[in-house]
Amino acid sequence: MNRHGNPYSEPPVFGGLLRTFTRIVMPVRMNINDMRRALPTLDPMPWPLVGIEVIPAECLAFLPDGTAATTLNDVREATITIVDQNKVMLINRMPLAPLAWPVPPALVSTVRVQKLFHLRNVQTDLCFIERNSPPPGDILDLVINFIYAEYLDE
Amino acid sequence: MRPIERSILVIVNCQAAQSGIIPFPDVPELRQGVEVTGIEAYTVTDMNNTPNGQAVISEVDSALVTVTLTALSTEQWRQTPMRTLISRLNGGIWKESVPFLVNFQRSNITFNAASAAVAEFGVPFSIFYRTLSR
Repeated sequence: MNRHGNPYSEPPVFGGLLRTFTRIVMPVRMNINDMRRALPTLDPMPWPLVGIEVIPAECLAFLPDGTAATTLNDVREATITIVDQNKVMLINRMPLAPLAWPVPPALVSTVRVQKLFHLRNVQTDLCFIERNSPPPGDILDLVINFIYAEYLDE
Repeated sequence: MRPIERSILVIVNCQAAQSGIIPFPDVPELRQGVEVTGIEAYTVTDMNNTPNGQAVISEVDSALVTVTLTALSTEQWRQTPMRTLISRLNGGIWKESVPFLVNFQRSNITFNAASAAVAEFGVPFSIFYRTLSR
């Protein structure tokens, strides 16, 4: 049990201890015959991964390179798997659409709460996006944001 | 809300016009040494197919389903309406629980009336859990 009386999260995520967020934006393209696509290779972060955001076309119509982003309807075709440096599967096939931010009013009422994670030693190039439909499918141009939290030393 | 440390997608396979009780499949990752911390359900609005290409339960059918999760021999979550487990309908908040050792062989979903589906389909859940090896 930590000093905040919480036996489950170590270090505590809430309580004003967050100092900074580091946000890594990763564009991922799945071509029509791709069933699986690894995320880009990044140096492992010393901080825990606390958030995963998917940016659909309803939020950002075009990527910085001018590519049209994928709509939320097409984001439903994909899941994400998060793996750590020891090849332990931390998150297994989580649907991407519920991680999309923000989503159209038809899909969610008012305030939307993002999922909070606490994933250490994530190895991005071992993580992957999978398509749920058999190929050929649509080209998916996904924008995945990984949000890392840096904690104040206690 | 507790941060998610581990998550696994579990699919309950159903038949056309499904009714009655369907047990959860065996999930080796959740057999021992882990405690379930929460659950989230999905419909076709969240994912168009299951990862093996199967259709996903419709919004209409999801209102027919209740979920029972058993901890050892005790029904920890008894007949919870599936719609309450869909975070999209709850401002994005997933259902959290006091961590418990789940017995998936004795956990199930129940269709309280026959499904309107005309072909096989899957009912996907993300099971959030944590390991006890710490």
